Amino acid sequence: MPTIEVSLKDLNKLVEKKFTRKELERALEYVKGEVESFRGDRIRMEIADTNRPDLWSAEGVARELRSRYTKDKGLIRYKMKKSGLRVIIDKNLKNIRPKTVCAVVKGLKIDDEFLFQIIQLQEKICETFGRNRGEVALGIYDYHKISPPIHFRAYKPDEIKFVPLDFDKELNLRQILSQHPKGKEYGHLLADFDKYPVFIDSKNHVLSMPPIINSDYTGKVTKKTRDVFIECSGFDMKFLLPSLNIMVSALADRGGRIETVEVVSREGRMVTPDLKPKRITVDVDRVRRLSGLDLGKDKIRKLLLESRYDVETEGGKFLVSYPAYRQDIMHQVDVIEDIIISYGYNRIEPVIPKISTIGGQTRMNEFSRRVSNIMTGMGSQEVLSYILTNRDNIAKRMDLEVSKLIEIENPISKNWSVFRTWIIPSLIEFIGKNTNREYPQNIFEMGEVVLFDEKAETRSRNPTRLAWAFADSEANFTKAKQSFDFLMRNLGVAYVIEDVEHPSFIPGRVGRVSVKGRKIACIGEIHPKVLENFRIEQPVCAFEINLSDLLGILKK
Amino acid sequence: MRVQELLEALHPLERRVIPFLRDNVELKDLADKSGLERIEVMRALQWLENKNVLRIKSVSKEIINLDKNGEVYLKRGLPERRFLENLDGETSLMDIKERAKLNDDELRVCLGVLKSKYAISILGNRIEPTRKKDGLLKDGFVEEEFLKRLPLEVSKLDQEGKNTYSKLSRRKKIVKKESVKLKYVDLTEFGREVLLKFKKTRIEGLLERLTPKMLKERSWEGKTFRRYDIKINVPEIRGGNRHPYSEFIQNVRETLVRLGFREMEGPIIELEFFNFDALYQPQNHPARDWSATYRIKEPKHGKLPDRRMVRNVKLSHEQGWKTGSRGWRYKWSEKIASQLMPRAHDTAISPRYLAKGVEIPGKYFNLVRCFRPDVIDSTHAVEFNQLGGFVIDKDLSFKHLLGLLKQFVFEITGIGEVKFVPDYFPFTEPSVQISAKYPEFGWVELAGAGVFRPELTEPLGVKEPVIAWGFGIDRLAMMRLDVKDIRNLFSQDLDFLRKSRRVF
Repeated sequence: MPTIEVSLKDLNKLVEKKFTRKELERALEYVKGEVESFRGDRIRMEIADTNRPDLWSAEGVARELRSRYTKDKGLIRYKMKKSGLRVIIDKNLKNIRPKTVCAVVKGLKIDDEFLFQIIQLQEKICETFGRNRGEVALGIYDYHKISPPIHFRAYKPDEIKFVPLDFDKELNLRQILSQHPKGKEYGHLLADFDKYPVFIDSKNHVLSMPPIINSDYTGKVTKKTRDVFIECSGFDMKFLLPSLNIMVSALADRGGRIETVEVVSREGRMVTPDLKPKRITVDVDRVRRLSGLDLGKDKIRKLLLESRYDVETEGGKFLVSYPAYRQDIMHQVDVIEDIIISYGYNRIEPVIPKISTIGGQTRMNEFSRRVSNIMTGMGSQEVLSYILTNRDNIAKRMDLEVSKLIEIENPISKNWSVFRTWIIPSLIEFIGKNTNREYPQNIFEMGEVVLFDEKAETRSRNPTRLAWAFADSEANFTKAKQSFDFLMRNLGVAYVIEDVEHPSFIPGRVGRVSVKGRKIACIGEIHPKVLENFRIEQPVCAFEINLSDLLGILKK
Repeated sequence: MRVQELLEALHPLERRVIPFLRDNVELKDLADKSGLERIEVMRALQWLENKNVLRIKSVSKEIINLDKNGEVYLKRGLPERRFLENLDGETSLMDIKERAKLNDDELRVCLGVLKSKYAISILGNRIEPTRKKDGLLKDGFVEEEFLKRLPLEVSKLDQEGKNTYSKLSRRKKIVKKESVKLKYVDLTEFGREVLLKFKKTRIEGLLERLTPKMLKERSWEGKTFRRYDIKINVPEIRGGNRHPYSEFIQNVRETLVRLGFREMEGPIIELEFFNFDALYQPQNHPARDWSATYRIKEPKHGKLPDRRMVRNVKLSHEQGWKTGSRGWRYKWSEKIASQLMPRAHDTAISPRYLAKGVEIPGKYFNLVRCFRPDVIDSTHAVEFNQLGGFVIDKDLSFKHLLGLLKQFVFEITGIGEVKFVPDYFPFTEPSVQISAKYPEFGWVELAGAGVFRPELTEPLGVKEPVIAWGFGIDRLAMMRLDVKDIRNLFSQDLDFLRKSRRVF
């Protein structure tokens, strides 16, 4: 979720309305914004909509508030003229960074806050919308320091040098990647190439090396800058065009005059930015059905204008024009949401749907509840653990070889790096953490385990198991079998117990339990070696049952 | 408690002690007189104190007592007495030392003491008694009198006593000062009444424990049982209990079932297809990043479901399919969709059910564990529960969504004051967040919801509007269970579990 910082004074100036803090908090609902903090005049807010980069600056927020609080409604039509500037894309960029779209904005009066917002918006576009510069790199330059035309071209790492932003000596491209902080941060984006992209003017002044860094000479915007050149480079027009449009619209909202640039490549020539509004059809009927509101056509039109759309009616349909900085509109439902937001969520009378259905838990949870009643009735305390655990706990410390574990590739911590295959280790670990608590400790846990299953579509299954453990000086096999038997009698299940070998238990004191020929449980005294591994100084006996299998048998 | 009842409820130990009670009697005294151990007397006194019969005063005192040599001197007489008794006329030091059986130390002290009392005169190596000798022996030594009176409290010494103590304390191990804690009894008004009544009333033959033998022989007949003090604290016992968090979850499940919701379940290891693609989350979406979701080492890929459905989802992503959408406009990869991952959110379950076919109208929910590589802190865990689901019917709209949420919040939290705020989820449009006003916390965000996008539902074969909703169940649990740190929801402290109250 992008977080942006704005100045209340600046925002009020842009909207031409004085908001108090409280009023502003309400108003921000229109942009899905939530105030994180007020500090003097500074407001930090989170914008929930990760698909609306046009809202990630004071200008974007102000635009939406103006249309709700002032008479300035409907689509904003930005005027443009030609700048005459040409940008030529060299064919050697084909597989490296093949595309760019550019613009010129003139007549800017940049103050501190304006500068802050430009930099913030540029950052949000590149980092959040542009996937950490992977999709979008956006650069802004002092127009008057550039000698047209501009070339966009790939150079070998040692072929060319320039002074990067905030440095005082010339570095070649290789040195920039290894020495400049931004080179270290974003160098991986160029790791696959033997040539790197560069914007360079006709006097061989380097503008920038996208997506890494601007030059200190041209690529620095200050309060003295009046006219700027903007470029957006990457691979995919659906990222590049909206990014450029958002930036120039924001600058134009502050009084800048947008001028077009001619971008020439082998594929042809293109004039950018393209701020022509786009169109989508919205059904009146669909608006009413989705909102549940009985809205008249005029009302819908008014709400559309408040949401910065222009509208033409055509029978039961609206032909809606939306601004070029909106890249999120895929379907008419996106427009309908804006209509409802303009109407006001809290003005809608909530209606509980009159639907009569019969509820129910999963059979497994229903069964688990019965089982837990029996276990607590027996005097056992339920415990809860994570399904994620580590290899040591379920295998090594249990003195067990477990081959097929499902393991996390990118764990946050080794403690939670594999999915448990059985629950007894969780209980033993629990007892190990409670050695200073009163004995006997009679505990159980019900939950899922994760097992490999070649045949399943997810190559795994997660049966529910019940594990029980008893730690006490008197803990022994008899106690375990008594408890197990208590559960089985209460469930009305007959079972057979057979000797089995299991390294976690004392040999000769561990059994495998079958019900109707199906192995569903194991039961026994935990081996002292295991207890030692968990620093437990009391004998422990335990059992574990596959409740999913048991339920399957019971159902038949 | 009335006096009579109290008398009938007296424990045998209390009965042994009561006859000797009076104001300012000391514990040791009571033990001596009653013939009980000090610890037994103490227990009886504590019970009686609880019954308001008496107060136990604990007084710390400095006592002067005999030390090792002092005890010997008390029996055999002080060295200076022995010295004087054995002094007949002029005698040499060696002789007197021998006769009076003194050591060097004692001899030196004797010379000093007796000289200061003018009882001897010293001439070089020889000593001679003065006229005062006989008087002194007859009247006795004040030091001896002092030793006989020990133990004495320091604070109660008179001036002479103080002087004597000061002299003796300079000599070797005759007296010592020790600090002792003494327990005294102070009777209350009520206690005096009890004492009076106790002496007059003879209660004898009270029955203690009722035994099978007594029942069999009917020996209890015509006798009185000793009354018990039923207000007394008893040791705790341990019973079987649900874990408070799992009990809370169970209650939430039951609430949803009561509202007509049917529970869904799904795999922990999930196909990206259901976790993301079927929810119309594009494959390059930041939420699908390595850093936002877990990956598993092996196996990497699972089996994609029904080919036609997969194709519809693919087209929906690429160009909107038949939904009227322009789609996300990128090349959709089957390989990415078939990757396996730990379920990152509960909503992964909904498309499975929608694709399989659900009842219409229908209400569905799930409450399951989810996994994300979040940085762990007091509000983020790598494993957590999510509650969510959907409602489907042919004429559902946004106002029903709001109604449903409001009903949920009321049924689960009991709070009626709610507000709605526009929100964003990649798979719903319109989307909303609901907050409830808690009297103690103020506005708290509880749930997010929205109408599933047509690009999601239509490729799965669903024509009807679907309202999807999800609750931050962990947050609700933390508020209900008064747990400040999300990690403590899965508390591994047995004492905490044993002592926690049940939630309702």
